[in-house]
Amino acid sequence: MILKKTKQGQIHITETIAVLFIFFVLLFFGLVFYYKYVDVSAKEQLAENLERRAVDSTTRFIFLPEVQCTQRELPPFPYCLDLLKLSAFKDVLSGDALDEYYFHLFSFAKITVQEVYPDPARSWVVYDKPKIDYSNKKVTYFSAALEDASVSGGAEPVVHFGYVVMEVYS
Amino acid sequence: MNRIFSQRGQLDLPFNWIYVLLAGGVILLFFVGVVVKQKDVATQQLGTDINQILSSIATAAAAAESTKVVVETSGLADDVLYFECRNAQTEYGIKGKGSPVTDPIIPLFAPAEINSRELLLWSLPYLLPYKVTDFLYITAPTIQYILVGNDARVQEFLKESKSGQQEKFVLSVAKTDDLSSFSPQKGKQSFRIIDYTGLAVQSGGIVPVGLQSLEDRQVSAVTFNSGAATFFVKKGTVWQSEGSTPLFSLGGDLDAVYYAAVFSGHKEMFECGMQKAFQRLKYVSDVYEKKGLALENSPGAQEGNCPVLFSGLPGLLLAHHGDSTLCSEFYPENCVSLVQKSGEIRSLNQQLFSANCPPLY
Repeated sequence: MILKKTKQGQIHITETIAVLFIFFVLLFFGLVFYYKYVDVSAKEQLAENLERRAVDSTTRFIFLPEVQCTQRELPPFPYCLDLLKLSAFKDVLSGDALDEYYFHLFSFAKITVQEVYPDPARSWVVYDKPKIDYSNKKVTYFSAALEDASVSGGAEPVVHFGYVVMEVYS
Repeated sequence: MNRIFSQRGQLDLPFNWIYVLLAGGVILLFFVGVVVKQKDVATQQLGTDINQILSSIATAAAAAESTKVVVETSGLADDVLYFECRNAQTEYGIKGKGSPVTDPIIPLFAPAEINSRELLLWSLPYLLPYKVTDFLYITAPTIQYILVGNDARVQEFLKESKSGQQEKFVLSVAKTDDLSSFSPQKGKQSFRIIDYTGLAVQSGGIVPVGLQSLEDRQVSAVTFNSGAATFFVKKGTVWQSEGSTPLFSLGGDLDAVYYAAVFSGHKEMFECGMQKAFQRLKYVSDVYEKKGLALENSPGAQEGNCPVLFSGLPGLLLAHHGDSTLCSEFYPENCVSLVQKSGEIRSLNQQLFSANCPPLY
């Protein structure tokens, strides 16, 4: 009788342990699945934010009074950059202005203006603040007319064609 | 023996149920905890997302010059958007939800709080004499602007209160010659009096009877007089002055500085936004100083009467840059000469245009 009772008790304990074990295994899988889901969502959110930042930064740069053509538009090109202002702005950024002010506008990014016509060898790295240990990078391109008032005679500037390369890091 | 077994069975059954209930309760509590936490995170995330979207809208609206944008915010009808500006930093967002947006760049002028199903965004360029930045004004159809006077700016404001392109962009504007008998439009949450005469609203003066019963925060005023704006808040039934501040502007149509004073909820908001503009001017004037030097040496500047005209430009731009730097550090005390220098640069630029020389801007 005593032997029978002990056996029944052992079966009960084993049953309880088995149930608890399965419960914790399921809980563990549930938690792993949940954290995986949260991790993926966070990464997607970060990628989305980076894309938004790239678009915002490009918009900001194209309309920046420091580089925008003073006529604003140069038909047929709706977006225009002034090369004299661009060079001057590049010089301004080589001082403290980048960290003091423009970092709030562009954060970790690299902005290059590339001429396509007539001289594709010409390009200007206007803003360069790389993030050494970046986890993600997004590049966007935006075409623009490039006005050069330094090479012409009279009030009419020479118009070149190029594009802006905006690289943002996170 | 049978009796003993039966008693044990009676004990076993409740024990199992208690165990199941306890375990079930713990599991339920765990998942309820996860759901509550998730809901809290989602609410905060939604607030942050909306603030980020607002920031993107503000960026786009400020970038595109002279734009009028309507933003549907019916989903936020129960929330209050707040705007603050201190030490050249604007902070805005949904009250009590998410992380607010901090912006040290865009000069943003808005009332302290907005609770509306629509936001009206308007941007105008600030010229001194070249474009410095775009001012962004944020308001709502729930705010009524009461214009006093017969100034040309009154007519301009009435005309600009509607947009040709954006049908939904309609500012609530009313013109009155007699403020004391003015009765406010029903359904509006706040009222702002714009006194172009500089006489209708005085410190210690009586608030119009129709507005006296409203809460103090719902009524404010600004008066324009001799190139300065004076801001007023309602204290019971009388006006209390927040003080005057000079308006540094070249005048002309659609004067961004006047509209900045109109749309700023308080003097602090206006001065803070202007401070941001002058910080920007410091760098923009540096760019133009360098451009002026490059232009002076360009082939176009060597023809006809251009060398004579260009000879005075670098000195003028250098002085303007110096004034801008001083003004950005000691606003508004050291900003007086900015307007005069800007006028001189504008005049010289017009001469460059007339003489067929490459203009500065």
